[in-house]
Order: sequence, then C-alpha cells, then structure tokens
Amino acid sequence: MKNRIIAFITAGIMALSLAACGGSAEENVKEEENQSTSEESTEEKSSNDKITVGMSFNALMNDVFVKTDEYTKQFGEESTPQVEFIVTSADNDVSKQISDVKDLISKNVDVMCICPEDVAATDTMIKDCQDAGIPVMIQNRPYNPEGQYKPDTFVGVDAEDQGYASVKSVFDQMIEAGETQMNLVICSGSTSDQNSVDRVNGVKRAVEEYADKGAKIVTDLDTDWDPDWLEANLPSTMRANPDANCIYIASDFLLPAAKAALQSTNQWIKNGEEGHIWFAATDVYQEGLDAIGEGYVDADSLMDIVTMSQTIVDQCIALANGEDVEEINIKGPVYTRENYQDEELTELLWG
Amino acid sequence: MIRTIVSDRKKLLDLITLLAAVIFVIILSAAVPNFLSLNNVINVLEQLTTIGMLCLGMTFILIIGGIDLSMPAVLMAATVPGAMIMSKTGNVLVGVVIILGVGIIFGMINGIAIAKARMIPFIVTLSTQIIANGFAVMITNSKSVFGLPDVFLFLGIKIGIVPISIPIFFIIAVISHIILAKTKYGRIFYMIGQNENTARISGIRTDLYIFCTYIIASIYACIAGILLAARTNMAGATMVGNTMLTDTISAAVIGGASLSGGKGNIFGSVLGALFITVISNFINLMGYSYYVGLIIKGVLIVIIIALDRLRNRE
Amino acid sequence: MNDTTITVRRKFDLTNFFLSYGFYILFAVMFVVCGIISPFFLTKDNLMQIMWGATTLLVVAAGGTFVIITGNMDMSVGSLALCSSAIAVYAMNHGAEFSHMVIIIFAVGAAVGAVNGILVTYCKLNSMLATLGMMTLLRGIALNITNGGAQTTLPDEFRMAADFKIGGIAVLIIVSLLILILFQCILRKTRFGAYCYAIGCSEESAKRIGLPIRKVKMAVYILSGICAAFVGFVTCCKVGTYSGTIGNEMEFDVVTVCVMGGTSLLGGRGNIFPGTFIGVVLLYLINNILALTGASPYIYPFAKGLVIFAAMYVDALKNYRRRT
Repeated sequence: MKNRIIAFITAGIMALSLAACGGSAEENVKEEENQSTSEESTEEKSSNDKITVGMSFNALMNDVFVKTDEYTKQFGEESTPQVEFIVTSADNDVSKQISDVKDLISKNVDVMCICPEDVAATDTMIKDCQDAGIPVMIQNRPYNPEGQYKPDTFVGVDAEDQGYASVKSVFDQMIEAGETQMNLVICSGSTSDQNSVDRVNGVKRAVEEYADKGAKIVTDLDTDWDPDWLEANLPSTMRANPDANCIYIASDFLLPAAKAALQSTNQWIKNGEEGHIWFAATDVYQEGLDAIGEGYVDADSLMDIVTMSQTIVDQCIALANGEDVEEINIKGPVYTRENYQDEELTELLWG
Repeated sequence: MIRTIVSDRKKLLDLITLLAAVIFVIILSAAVPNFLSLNNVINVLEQLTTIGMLCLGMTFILIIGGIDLSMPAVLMAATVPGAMIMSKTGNVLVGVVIILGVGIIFGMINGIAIAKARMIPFIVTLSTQIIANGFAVMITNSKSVFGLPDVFLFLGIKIGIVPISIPIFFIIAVISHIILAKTKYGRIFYMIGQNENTARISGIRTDLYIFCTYIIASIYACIAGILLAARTNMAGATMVGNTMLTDTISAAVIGGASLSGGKGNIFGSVLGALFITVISNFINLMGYSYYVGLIIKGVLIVIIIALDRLRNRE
Repeated sequence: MNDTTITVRRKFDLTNFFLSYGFYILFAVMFVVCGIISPFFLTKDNLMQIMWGATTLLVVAAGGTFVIITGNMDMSVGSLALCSSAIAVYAMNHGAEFSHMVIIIFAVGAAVGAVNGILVTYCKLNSMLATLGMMTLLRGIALNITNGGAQTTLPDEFRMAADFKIGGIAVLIIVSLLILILFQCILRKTRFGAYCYAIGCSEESAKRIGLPIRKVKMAVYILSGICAAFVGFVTCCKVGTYSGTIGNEMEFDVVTVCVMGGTSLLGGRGNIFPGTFIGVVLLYLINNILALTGASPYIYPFAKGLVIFAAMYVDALKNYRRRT
C-alpha cells in the first residue's frame, strides 16, 4: 500500500514538473489546438481562405532552422492569403522525417515544404508527396540531383558560392597584407548535409584558384556539427600544424567553439596584431558579426534567411494555386570589416 | 496447476493492455482529426514495421533474460554494406545475403560472448553497438547510399494502398508467436528466462539456446533494415535515430516483457510497438512540437513501468 | 616433477597478471604507440588538452561509478546535463545572473537525482528502465524550454571560469581531479563507501544486517545527478554558449568507461581512481590522436569501438578465469 502511494506521488510530481517546465510549450499547444480546429472549419468553408503548409525540418537544433521557422510563420501570417505552417522536427533522424512527411500528408496539407536531413532520402519523400497529389518544395538543403523524382521547386541558398566567396575574400585580404603562404584549416559540418558539402566544395574551388599564390588546404576537420567535438580537437590540430594561418568554419554555429579552441592555443588574436589567424566563416550569426567588428573574423558570407523565408512563403502560395515556380538559389553578400556596418547589409541580418 | 495460473495471468495482462489500447484509440480518434482515416491507419502501420520488427527480436532476448542494445546499430551496420553492393552492381540476391551475413556475424559475436564466455549481456551488446555504429559510419563516411535496384524496391511497393511491408511484418509476427507459444522451443525460452540453472539441470543446452537467440535477434534487425531500406530507397548511418533503442526496449516492456526474463509475448510487444508509434503520429497530427512528444513519452514510460511493477507485486 | 609444477604455476601467474592488469597494459601500449605516431602527442600542451577534454566525462563517470557499484544504473545523466543547463538558460532569459544560474544548474541536478532515487528505491522500479524514461523526459523538457536547443550566448563569467588557471593548469581540470580523489576516498575510507559495496554485493544480506539501503541509494543517485549537472556546467564554460548537443549520448559513455576501468555491472566491485579515471582518459586519448594525425573523423567511432571492445573482453576474460 505504502509503495502504491509513493508511486502515485512520484507520478504527481512528474506531472507537476511537466506542467511547470513546459509552460511555454503548453501555450503553444493550446494555440495550435485552436488553430487546428479553426483550420478545420475554414477548410470546410473554402480552401482558398488559408493555405496550410506542412513544414518538415530535419531538426530545430540550430539557429538557421529556428529562425527559418520563425520568419516563415511571421511572413505567412502577413501574406494574403494567410499561410499556416504545421511544423515537425525529425531530430536528425532520417526515418522519422519520412514518417513525419507521411503524417503531414495524412493531415491533408496544401503544400509540403521539406528541409531534408539526408540528401539521399529526398527521393522517397518527394515521391510520397507527389503520389498524394501534394506539391512539394525542398528548402534550405538541396535535394538529391541524381534522384528519380524532382520536387516542384527548391528554395535555398547558393552554398557553393558562400564557401567560395568567404574564403576568396579572406585570401584577397591576406595577399594584401603580404602573406605568401595561405595554409587553410577547414572545419566542415556533416557529409550528409549537402549544404556543408557544397560549401567545402566552394572553398576547394577558391583554394585551387589561389594555389599559385600559395593557398593550400592543411586539413579538413569534419565536425558532424558538434561544437564540443571541435572545441576538444581543434587545439590539437592547430598544434600539430603550426604553419596553419587561416581557418574556414562552415557555419557560425561553430564559431563559439572555434573561438574557445583558439583561445586555448593563444591564437585568438585580432587582425593586424602578431599571430592573427585569418578567419573565414559562413551564416553571419550575431557572434560572427560581433567578431568581425572586433577584428577576429575577416570574412563571413551571409545565409540570407529573411529573403529565403519570404520566397518560401511566396512560392508556397503559388504552388497552392497550381502555378509553376522556378528554383531559386539565393546568394548572400560577404561581410567584412569594411562593409559590415553598411545599411543595406545590416538590413539583411537575422541573427 | 501452476501453468494454468501462469497462462491465466498472461491472458489477463494481455486483456488489460488491449483494453487500455482500445480506450487510448477511442480518445485519440475523438481528439485528433484524420486519426482514423484509412490513409493514416496505413501510415501508422507502415511506420510500425521497423520498430515492431526490432521489438519482436527484443522480445525473444528479454524472454531468455538478456538484453540487446546493439539491435538498431546492427540494423544499420548490416544494411549499409548490402545496400552499397546493391546500388553498385544491381545484384539484389548478393546484397540481401550480405545484409543477413553481416547481421548474423554481429549476432554470433554477441551470442558467443554471452552464452560461451558468460559475459554480461549489457556490456557485450553495448560494445557491439559501438562497433556496429562505427562500422556503418566508417564505410559510408556518413554519406547515405541511394539508388537501390528496382527489384529490391519491390519490397517497398503497395498492393492497392497497402504497402507490402505491412503483411510481411504481420506474417513474421504470427510465425514468431507460434514459435513462442506453441512449440517446444518457445517453452524452453521461457524456462531459461525464469531460471537458467534449473533449465540447465533439467538437461537443456542453455548456452546453445542463448547463442541462437542473439542470432535470431540480429536476423530480425536485418529484416527490419531490409524493409526500411526498401521503403526509403536509401541506407545510411542515420537510418534510425538515437531514440530507436529506447523506443524498442520500452515497447517490449510496455508489452509485458520483463528485464529479469521469463516474461513477455509477441502479441503484447506488437501492441507496445504500436503504442509507441501512435504517440509520435498523434503528436504530429496535433501539431505539437516534437519535444512535447518526448516529455509525454518519458512520463508514459515511467508510469507504465511503475504500473507494471505494481501489477507484478500483487 | 617438482620443477614442472613450478613452471606451470609461473606460467599461470603470468597469464593472470596480464588478465588482471590487461586494461592498464592496453592503456600503456596505446600511450606509447600514440607517442610514436605523433611527435606532438607527448608535449605538455597536448596532454593538458586531453585532460581538458576529459573534464566533462571524468566527474560524471565518478558519480556513475557509485551508482554501478551499488548494482544500479543511471541512464539519465546525459539528458540531465542538458536539462539542468537548459533550465539555467531559461532562468537567464528571465533575468537570472551567473551565480543564480550556477545554483540552478546544481539544484536541478540534485532534484532530478532525487526523483531517480525515489523511483528506484521507494517505487522499486528497474533502475535502467526508470532512468531511460527519465532520459526521454528530461531531454524533452530541455529542448522544449530552449526552443529546440537553439544556441544561446551565456554570461561572460562562464568563459572566465574556463580560462581561470592556477599555475598554468586550468582550474576546471584541478577541480575535476580533486573531486575524483575525494570520491575515491569516500568510496574506500568511509562507512558510506563500504555500504555501497555491501549493497552491490548482495542487497539481501545488506538488508539483513540492517544497513540503511534506501538512504544510501538515494544519496548515490543524488550524487550522480549533481555530477551530471557539473557536466552541463563545464560544457557551458568551455564553449561559452548553450547548445542542444550538451551531454549527447553520454549515458553509454559513462557505463563504458566504468566497465573498462574494472567496475562490475553486477555491483560490488570497482574503483574510481585509477580504474574509471584511466577509462575516461583512454576515450579522449583515441579522440586526440586521430585529430593530431588528421585522420578522417569517420574512423573515430570505429576505432573507439575496437578499443572499448578489447578492453571489455579483457575484463570479461578475467572474470571468466576467476570463476573457473
């Protein structure tokens, strides 16, 4: 009897902790509940009033995705007709994402919008959607170019150009500063992330272009998007390669970790001072922008999430109306010390 | 006498689980739009095949009183090389043989270490899991394999609107049920789980049975991998996520299996797997965030284990 | 006749020696091989870097050793590390300062440890299943209140704590080692430690001779919770930001290093220093040498798996020998 009472008390405590900690979440839940019921009724009235878009993210663990989620929801509310996003997150699990997409199909969304975890799996998801007669958009991360099925549209960023432009800008600055050797350490993301692969390809193109001026890749660290791993291992790499004098990180997501790592080897030094490690980055988070201002980061190519989110919303509306749309690769400008305070560039910022 | 009580109690537990599941479904279908639509039911059943298949294997393991942490990892480690061969050469037979071969090798490593060297299952399968995972990551460089041959993708097609993997899963489940409930071997499994020493003294070659059980579990993992690869037309080191292991064990335990062995049945395990699948489907259909889903799942797991504990005390 | 017996015995001793100290021999061999492979390996900076990497796992593994010695398991440590720092971030967004955040981190650790303890001792749930459930639950809570674990910049004090050095050695390393030694002393020199071993050997007999089983188990789980929270704190310090990757898959790492270091999952056997300590260092050593040589990071999990596999099998063979 005593045990049973204790069991119930524990269950009670857990329910309480759920209620207390999940406060914000429950609000969301209630909101969405209202939304889903209201959506049902509008659906019955006429499907033109509101467009529902199934938005399947690979994970919501990264600012890029979180902000895309926020901006698309915001722009969706402002647009006419209104676009409502039903969001799922697959938590970096391919089979879960495929299931998520099917669940969203069951939910009868008007348009499917997918940010794929793994480029190899896009084929299946596109097929499922098209079998169900739902137009499908791949966003942010590219689809499998060798796959049998093509999505109706793709909205993303030109990742190859991001890597190329950022590193090129740093190389130009280095040559200007009189460096003859450009030994680059690449900190890439994950090989299943097509964006990360493309960025590194862009970097390699830039290195090839500058090879006769002394550019060379020292090593390519694959982080699998794990900042802790980078923090623990970049110092070893820097010590083993004392001639390395520039670094490229595939996203500002890794910047705090890279910063901590360089601090521990005493290489986090401002531009213009002895021992500065030239630093190229991509995405432009707030940390990245600050670091440009302080002189630690030399070039940062923007992931233009604001424009991308707006395009996603526009194209979703077009797809829901049965129009044809074109694939878009948005190019982002490169932020450097010279231009990072320019008005037209600061307007594009999302971090 | 004793056996009738045991079987009665088993039936009672089944009945309770079934009743809870029915009530659950009624509540869900009232609360969630589209939940009982034909499309969604098929969708759920299709998702069930992966975790369900793993759960069948886990049931065997739990019944003999072991545990296998390596199943999801073996699924990936076995499917990936097979899929690579298939996409390169287009030879399905060789691919499937490799999948089963690699799976059985991992099963044998587990089996030998546990049955012959008498090591603790948790440790053995934990290290197998790490190796299998590393193996899958290493041979793919984390890059998934796609473009599997059409003959293989036959397993992913649909008859009418029912994907072929669903009947395959249920046929295998029924066969497993018959093996466990109706044959001599099934009784021996339970006997070993209840008391290995008694079983050994009564002349059963326990080590042989334990060895075979781990191979059986690996074969289930391979079948799950084959079906999953056919369904998704890909194979890779992220095929199944980190949560799959927890989900599988929880599903089997929810279905009535016990970590101390000697308990569990196929029917319950299928229901347990269905329960886990339905939770995540429910969360997506309601538009809740995935993370709320984790909380709900965690609380339910603890509560169900607690209830199970109370039930077994009485 | 007499001679042969002696040789046989000597041979047996040698095998026994290798089996008993197999793990340490493996470690020594690894260490020497690494030193040969890379000239940078044996530099002071690099060894310090290994220790620096190991600080996260060291403390939680020490706490985990207590739990495993009592014959239980705590699978929630990784999620707990994430959850405690997530709640601190949540508090920060609502105006909490550094000191409050630190208190919150450790308070959450202790509280969750207590819940684990209650589930295992008073509700008598299977420790692995109960903490697996808690693992899912805590991860859900953490990701929920931090918007899916999005990266958040923390107050500067966190970075300052990581940079703080005494005599050229980071204070976090010193603290971790002190905690380790303290725990080892508790385990070996105090009554509490003896109770842990007794409960692990046989809970029945421990109950019969009237040991305070419930109190000891509760204390062990709370200790493990606090240690897990320490991981969250240290990870936040190291990078200066919070992200959803904190404590990822740490629960299995803890079990692995404990078992490699000679702690038995059946309970009643094991030590923190040198066993668990060497186990942790070995894990980070593999990591380090691969980064030093610029090997493909995709080899890392497999290489790690092989070494762990070897270490565990040596441990198991030793037990097999003892039994027969």
